[in-house]
Amino acid sequence: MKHLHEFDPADIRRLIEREGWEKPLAPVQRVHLTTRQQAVFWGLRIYVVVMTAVVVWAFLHGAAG
Amino acid sequence: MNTEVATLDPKLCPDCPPLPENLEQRLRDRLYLDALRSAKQNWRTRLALGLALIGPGVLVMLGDNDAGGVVTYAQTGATYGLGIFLPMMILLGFVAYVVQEMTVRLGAVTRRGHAELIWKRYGAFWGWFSLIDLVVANVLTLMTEFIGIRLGGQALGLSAWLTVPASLLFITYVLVFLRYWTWERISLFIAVFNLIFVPLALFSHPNWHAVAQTFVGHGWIVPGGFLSLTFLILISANIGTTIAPWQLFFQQSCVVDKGLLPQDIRAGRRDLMLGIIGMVLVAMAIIILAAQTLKGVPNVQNVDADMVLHVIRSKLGDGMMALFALGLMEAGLIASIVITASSAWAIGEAFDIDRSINTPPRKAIGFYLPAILGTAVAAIAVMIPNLPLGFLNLSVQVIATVFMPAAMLFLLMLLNDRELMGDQVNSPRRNAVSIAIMVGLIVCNSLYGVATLFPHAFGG
Repeated sequence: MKHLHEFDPADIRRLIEREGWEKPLAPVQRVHLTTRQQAVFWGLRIYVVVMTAVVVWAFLHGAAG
Repeated sequence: MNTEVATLDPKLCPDCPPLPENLEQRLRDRLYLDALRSAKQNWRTRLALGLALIGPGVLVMLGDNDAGGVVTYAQTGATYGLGIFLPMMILLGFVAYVVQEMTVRLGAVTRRGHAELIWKRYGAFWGWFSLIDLVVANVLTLMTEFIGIRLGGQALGLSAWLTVPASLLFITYVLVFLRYWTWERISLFIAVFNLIFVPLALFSHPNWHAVAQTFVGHGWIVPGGFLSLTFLILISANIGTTIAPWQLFFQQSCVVDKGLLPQDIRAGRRDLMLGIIGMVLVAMAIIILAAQTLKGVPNVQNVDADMVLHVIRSKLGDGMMALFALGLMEAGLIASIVITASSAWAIGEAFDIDRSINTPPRKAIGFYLPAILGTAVAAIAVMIPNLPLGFLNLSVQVIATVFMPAAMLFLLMLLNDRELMGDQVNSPRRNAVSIAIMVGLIVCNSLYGVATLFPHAFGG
């Protein structure tokens, strides 16, 4: 593949402008999770902890047996 | 990435507007694509363009057929033969497409990685959870990769003290010292060798009539039933080796680092579909191979890579065993490369530091070092003697599915965020399919959990 300096500066400029590389990305604003969303996420956290414990228990149990 | 500092050398383009830092390499990659697109179309330029556009999708899906996945498919074929799991691979390919396609759109539209969006949109509190899940799952998965490298090497007469450190050095080298384009091309070159399992399956001389019949419902008998512990752990493990949290983080960041934009989404989908076809073919090939050579092994947990290699040698000869060993090492190597990259991208995005493979290491030690350390921990762990490798492998795949619903929920919320996604927001049908996948994962895992803790709960 060619190096950047091997491309025509006009092509570089055209691509930058057409694809918008010179523009900074739009900022991502923070949003707060609703109570319902938080409840789902906490439910999934509990699910992750319980299931991980089950898998680790099964691994140790299976490994010992 | 610092968006305040312009670094494009004025000599390269005196009239160009100032650019955010470290975009030179990405710009070069885009110019190359642009030149191919605007060139006179003939088979050479079409082929070159097609090859240039593949990357994230093929890498994520062939990286998904990792050493742990190879062993899981072998365990599946050994346990159920040419049965229900063979056609199920097509269904799992569809599931993988639904999930991974969302990361292509999210990355191309927002030009931000998955971890970055979670941290910026939902805050550090939830960001930490997703990052910890990812890093834990990645280190565990990397252990299965190094197990594959170790055992594959041993089968070829190479010491683990040579293969494991050499692999770690290679993974470090390609991530730290190559820039995105070269890193992607070398990774793709390695990933193609994943297909070595297809000729292996052909050489095992399977009964093709029986193979074909599995797709119309023949041989779907599951000894012990669909609620047996063996079936539940294998279904969870097969899902876990098809969709995993690292894949979400990897493909989205890979799309961003490659510089794909909304106009490239269709090409990104084709790339993903190509990867999924490869993934499904390889998975089926290993199941067929295992059904031919390993069927009837009494305890699936005893099937590890070492046993698979031993049986292939005894039934198909040294040459086939050597090919399988090479395939196992390749599967471990390519997965280690992409999983290490997913850790690096996620950590870089979470802490808002340089997060591009295009950034040289002297400028981005915080981007490269934590990921390399995580991979080194996994490499060291597999040198522990007497690990129960077969069961460890299954357990790691199941853990990947445990972490998946929470990761998918963030993905779904981001894909439904019209402020971020604009017209590329998820359709209701796609949301319904994604939620069904999440619920399916939770149900499978919960049934496995119940069957593990209460072995007689389902009459087993």
